[in-house]
Amino acid sequence: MAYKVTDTHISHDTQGNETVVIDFSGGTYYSLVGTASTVWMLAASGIGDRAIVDMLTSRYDGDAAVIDEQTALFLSDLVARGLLIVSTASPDDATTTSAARTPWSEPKLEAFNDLNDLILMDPIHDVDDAGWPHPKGDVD
Amino acid sequence: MTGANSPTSSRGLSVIIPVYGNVLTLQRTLESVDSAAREDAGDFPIEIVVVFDGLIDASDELVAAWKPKSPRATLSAHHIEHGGIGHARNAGIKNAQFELLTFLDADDELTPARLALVRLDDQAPDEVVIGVQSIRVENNASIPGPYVPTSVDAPRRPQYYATSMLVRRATMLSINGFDETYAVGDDIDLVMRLTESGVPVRMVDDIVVIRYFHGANASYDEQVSEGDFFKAIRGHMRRIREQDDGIQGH
Repeated sequence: MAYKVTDTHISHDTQGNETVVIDFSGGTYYSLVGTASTVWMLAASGIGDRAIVDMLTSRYDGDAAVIDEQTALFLSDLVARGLLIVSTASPDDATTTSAARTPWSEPKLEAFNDLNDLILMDPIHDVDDAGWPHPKGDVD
Repeated sequence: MTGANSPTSSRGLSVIIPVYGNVLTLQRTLESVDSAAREDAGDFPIEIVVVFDGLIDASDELVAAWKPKSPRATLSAHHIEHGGIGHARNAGIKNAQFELLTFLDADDELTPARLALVRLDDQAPDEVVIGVQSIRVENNASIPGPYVPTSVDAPRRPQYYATSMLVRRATMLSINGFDETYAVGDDIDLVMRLTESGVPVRMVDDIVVIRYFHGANASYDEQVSEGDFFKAIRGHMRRIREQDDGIQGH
């Protein structure tokens, strides 16, 4: 199974070991650090879930069954939050890495809701069916 | 950003217009302020603060020859070394005569509704007020994708534009003005820092600016726009984490 980013309302950006994901439909933004960022990048690039786990087990020191289980749970969480959707496309393969292995830690995301109102604040788009330049409630 | 170059008086509005190669559109922008001043029912004075962010065309000659028709409006012009939009806006804040500030790009038009917002400031001077933009397209230009999507399901992007904002000079100085390291995202960063500082931000439905897309807008560079947006989000996250660490450290 492969995934893709929900491109209707999700923007994401990765710098260093952190991915920031913004959900413009709900105003929540997320921080994905370390293994969470790695899983996100792999899933967002269309790599299949089996290949993701293979790549993670080649890159991280940890019990393969634990990596498999925690990765599956994390991907399910991303789908449940609407950040990723299951793709109908054929999953891409991944190549294993020869980079130095690092200890595995459970992938987790940190959700922020403090900017909900501001992220949803969108005066250009908050218009009625009449379109521009008619703000909501403008009866003229 | 510290201090101020000019003494301020409380009753009046300074309209800060950074200019950098806008000779083809600047007159329309200036006329819009003058026209709004004549149309608005208020009696407070309006100062147009033009800041030349470097000079690459004959914008200065245009401004030197232009005179407002409204008796309420005056114009002052200031030259600075080119440093970008945030740098120019900060210079405008320093040179503004009035306590109440608003910003306008040199290719857009201010509407009379912007001046009417001053009455909201009378009621709640602590608030920053942000209004709505109306979009116009000229020169057969396209609209940058992230800003006006082609369907309601397309990605939304917050519109924290300085050019839709009414804010007190003391408020701007208290947060050190615009972050001059941003190319286009200084507005988003500004609103985040305002809210972090506890400044209430009030949205109104009034159309306060007509924003033109003409093919040369900085926002056509989606990579820069998106990069600056995430830079602002990361900056916000860093500050609230530092704040949390500080609280836990005590």
